[in-house]
Amino acid sequence: MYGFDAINAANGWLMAAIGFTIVFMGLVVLSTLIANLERALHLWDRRGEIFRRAPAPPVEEAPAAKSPARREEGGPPVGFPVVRLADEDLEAAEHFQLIIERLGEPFSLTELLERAERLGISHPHRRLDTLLHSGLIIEEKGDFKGFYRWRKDARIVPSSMLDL
Amino acid sequence: MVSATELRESEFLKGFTEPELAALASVASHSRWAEGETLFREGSLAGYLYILKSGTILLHFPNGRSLPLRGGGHAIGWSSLVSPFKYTATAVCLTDADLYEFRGRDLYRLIQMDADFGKHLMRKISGIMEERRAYRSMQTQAV
Repeated sequence: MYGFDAINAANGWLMAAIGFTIVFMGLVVLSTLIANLERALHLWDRRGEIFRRAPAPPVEEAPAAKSPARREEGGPPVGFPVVRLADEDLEAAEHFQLIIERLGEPFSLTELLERAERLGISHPHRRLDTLLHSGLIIEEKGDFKGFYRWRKDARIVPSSMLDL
Repeated sequence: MVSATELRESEFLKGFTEPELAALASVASHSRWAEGETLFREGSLAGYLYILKSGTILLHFPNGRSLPLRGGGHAIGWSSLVSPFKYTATAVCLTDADLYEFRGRDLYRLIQMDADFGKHLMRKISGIMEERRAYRSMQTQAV
């Protein structure tokens, strides 16, 4: 028996299909490993930092909770610090705030910058400087010196609005 | 070329005598860095001391703490004068930054030539080390 008959008789098609599948599965696994190698190495580089990470401190009661601020109808609280930001910084501030919510507080500026860069926020360094300078991101005190938190009681206002 | 007059404006060099400033100016150079650039990395060989002229530099410490240094006068890279001559933090420019750059080897030569200058400089350096000690601390647990 020769040719296709021999292949059919010896389950040749099935064997070829299985072989084909095994090889491609192997290639998929290999390519997934290679694609994630950078992330794995990045985690390995930061292993010390990850294991030493501080536990979250007790949440500090916001001044608003102690004495509720007066609110304008539908508007932000009155009497809280006003931070004036340019329009392009406003958008970045929202993005940074979302990242901070994920990171938890207090957070490390290193991690904040890394995530902002990874998410493709334009000029993350300059934006971070603006947020620090404006007082929206403030440094913790005592044992948490060098870690930061978002000033939740601040009222962000577009600078264009104040110019009016 | 850096002049002694320029250096006199720096907060870090307040109290240095005219001849000391002139000596420092002779080994200083201007250095300009762009936003996002890294001046040096933690653990790398500390070859230079910088004095910030303008801009913001963020120091990242390996324990996750950070210290932003804004505006003129801050000294960065004291490890270039202290054994084991390895930077203890990573310095990243948050904005475009202008700095005065001093090679550690040149500063050591000046210290060898003038003991008073050396004492003066090292006193300033130890002040900065003390100021930033809390940032290098590994303890993060709140009491």
